[in-house]
Amino acid sequence: MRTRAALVCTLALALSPGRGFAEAPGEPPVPSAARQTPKEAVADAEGTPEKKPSLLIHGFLQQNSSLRATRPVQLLKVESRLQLDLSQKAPRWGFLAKTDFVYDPAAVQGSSAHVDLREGYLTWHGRSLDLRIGKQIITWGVGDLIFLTDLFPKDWVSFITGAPIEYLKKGSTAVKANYYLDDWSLEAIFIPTFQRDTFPIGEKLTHFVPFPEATASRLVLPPRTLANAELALRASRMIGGYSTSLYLFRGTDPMPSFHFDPATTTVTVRPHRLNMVGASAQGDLRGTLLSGEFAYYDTEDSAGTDPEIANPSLNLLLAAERVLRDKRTASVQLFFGDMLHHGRYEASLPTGFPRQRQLRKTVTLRLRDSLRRDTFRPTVFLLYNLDDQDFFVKAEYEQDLTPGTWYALGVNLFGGKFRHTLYGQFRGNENIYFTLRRAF
Amino acid sequence: MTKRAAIAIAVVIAAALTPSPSGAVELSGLEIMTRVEQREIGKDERSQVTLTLITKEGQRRERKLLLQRQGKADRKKVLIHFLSPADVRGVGFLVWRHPGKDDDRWLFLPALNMVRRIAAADKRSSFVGSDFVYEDVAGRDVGQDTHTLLRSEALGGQDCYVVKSVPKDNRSAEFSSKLSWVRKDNFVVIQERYADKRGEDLKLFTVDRLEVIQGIPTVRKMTMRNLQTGHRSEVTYDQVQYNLGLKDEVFTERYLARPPA
Repeated sequence: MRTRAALVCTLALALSPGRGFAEAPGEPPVPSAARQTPKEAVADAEGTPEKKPSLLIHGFLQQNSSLRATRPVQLLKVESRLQLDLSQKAPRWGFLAKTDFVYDPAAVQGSSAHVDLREGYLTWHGRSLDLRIGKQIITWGVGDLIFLTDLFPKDWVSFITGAPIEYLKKGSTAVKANYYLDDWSLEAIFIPTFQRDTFPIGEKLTHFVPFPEATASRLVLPPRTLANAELALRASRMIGGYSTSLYLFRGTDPMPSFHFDPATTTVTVRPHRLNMVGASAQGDLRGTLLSGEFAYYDTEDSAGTDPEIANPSLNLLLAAERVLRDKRTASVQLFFGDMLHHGRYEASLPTGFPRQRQLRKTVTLRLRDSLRRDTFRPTVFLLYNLDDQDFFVKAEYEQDLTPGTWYALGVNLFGGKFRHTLYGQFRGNENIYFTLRRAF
Repeated sequence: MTKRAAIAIAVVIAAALTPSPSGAVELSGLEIMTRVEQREIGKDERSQVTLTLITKEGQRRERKLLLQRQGKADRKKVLIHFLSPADVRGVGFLVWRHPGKDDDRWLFLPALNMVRRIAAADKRSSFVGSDFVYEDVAGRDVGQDTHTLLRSEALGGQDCYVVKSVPKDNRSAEFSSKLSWVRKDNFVVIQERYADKRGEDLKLFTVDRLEVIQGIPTVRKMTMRNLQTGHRSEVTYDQVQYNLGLKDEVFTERYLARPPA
């Protein structure tokens, strides 16, 4: 299944408060402004902008642990992370280097200690042109955990094991140019080398393996040539109060194919070319935020006769979000994916292989709230695939402790009727996670 | 020109042509509140805002943000970037107000480098956890309430109109009535007292510091107290500058996604 699950917008402006002591409030005072006659502020000592340091150092310390909630009960991660965020900004230019130092003795995949350059780029701002060169997070589209036009790299292992939502996104090493012309915003992104998504591999996270007899796997990435470089274009403007965008993408499908060779019992994992044309619109209609996104995928198997490679498809997302009361907000999404050459796909599918339906339908619901002066933020996200009959549930409770410090406690649930579906394969990875972060 | 704008201008002109407050003819409640809404506050503004939330026990929580504004009343655009605390640094919030319809709102999350629209707010909901509600910040249309001039009285030595405002639609506000003390010399509201749906005291707003900056009477410090819980929120405005010539493009996604250092 090619659902491009997506990104949560935890709208919670994590507006964490500070803690301290002050005088207890007494009787409401008479407004002192009433006693003042306004006078011209000739020299305002506080009116002078603060001198900013030339180099800003920020970041956070974080503990993020995840425990498999089903048998075998097992720690999926006990991760300690220090992020150092160095930046410098001038009116015309700037740079940012955001580096994570990670130690996780129970790591699901990879080494227990590693350094990860999350982002590192230079920026330049002209009158009508902005440039950003280097490793950077790029996010497109209007979906909430349903991605259609956002084909940029993601880390599904972090997502599945309860990392903060920003870790679903991985940086792209790219040159990004934004040009502003009247009401239009034009964005061009050049990515020299395809960077693949991070999917579960190995023993710790259960997932569907269509070739149980396979003894080895081989990853074949596209050669690093100019012809294989990725190019993404977006044109945006407001139309009738709606934020609208058109998208073009020429690059590599983040969802690879799997080819099994019985002679060598080897699985070859190979990403393929993908062209995408898309559009989105988002705006208010009488207090309800409406969103729509469309994407046509022109895959490498344009004839639709190779079942190992994704079939060309039309994809549509419709969504509505509304504040119910105070800050309690509900949103619903409907996703439709239409495989264009389903007949050829079925005809070419080997006997016994799981069969995808032509039209796939997904519904999601999200409820979120912000309580006790925005210091308690519960959210629940439900996703159900109507055809595959599988589901994903994420429930999280986030609370501020002190200024810049918060913790989150959450649960990820997966399930489904079949083992081969997107979320059905993760049955057994249900987990409870905990995050404590202190930002500075 | 919309009908609403025409009415507002007519009210202001009519008010300007009437004798001064010291004269024989007093302004009506609607005329006073229209002049409050339409008073000169500059074409645009930039200021650094400190919002301090203080519990009944005296515990304080503080956040700082950079605020940029263009226009006023129901044709206002506001761009906010949070400067602190550290976990929300760089988060941006853009609001376009429109006469007679819901605001357009955008949010920028720097960790995801993502700009997205967000649903129109419940205008009675708290603004970032403070005692101010969303419409205290974004503004409440004069036409949503019925305004009655109750009396004139001095407050802290300043001549003020005391105007009672009652929502025309009871569901449109968190209060059932509001008393405003409006200075006669500059039409700045220096105190408001809110009553809840039961008619009991709900909140008290006071202006604690007022200065003239670039010829514009400017609130430099104000407080909103919840009289029922004892919680209060203080707001101070520093580095206030008017008429900077902020262009329309500042209030777009381009600048929303470019937080200050």
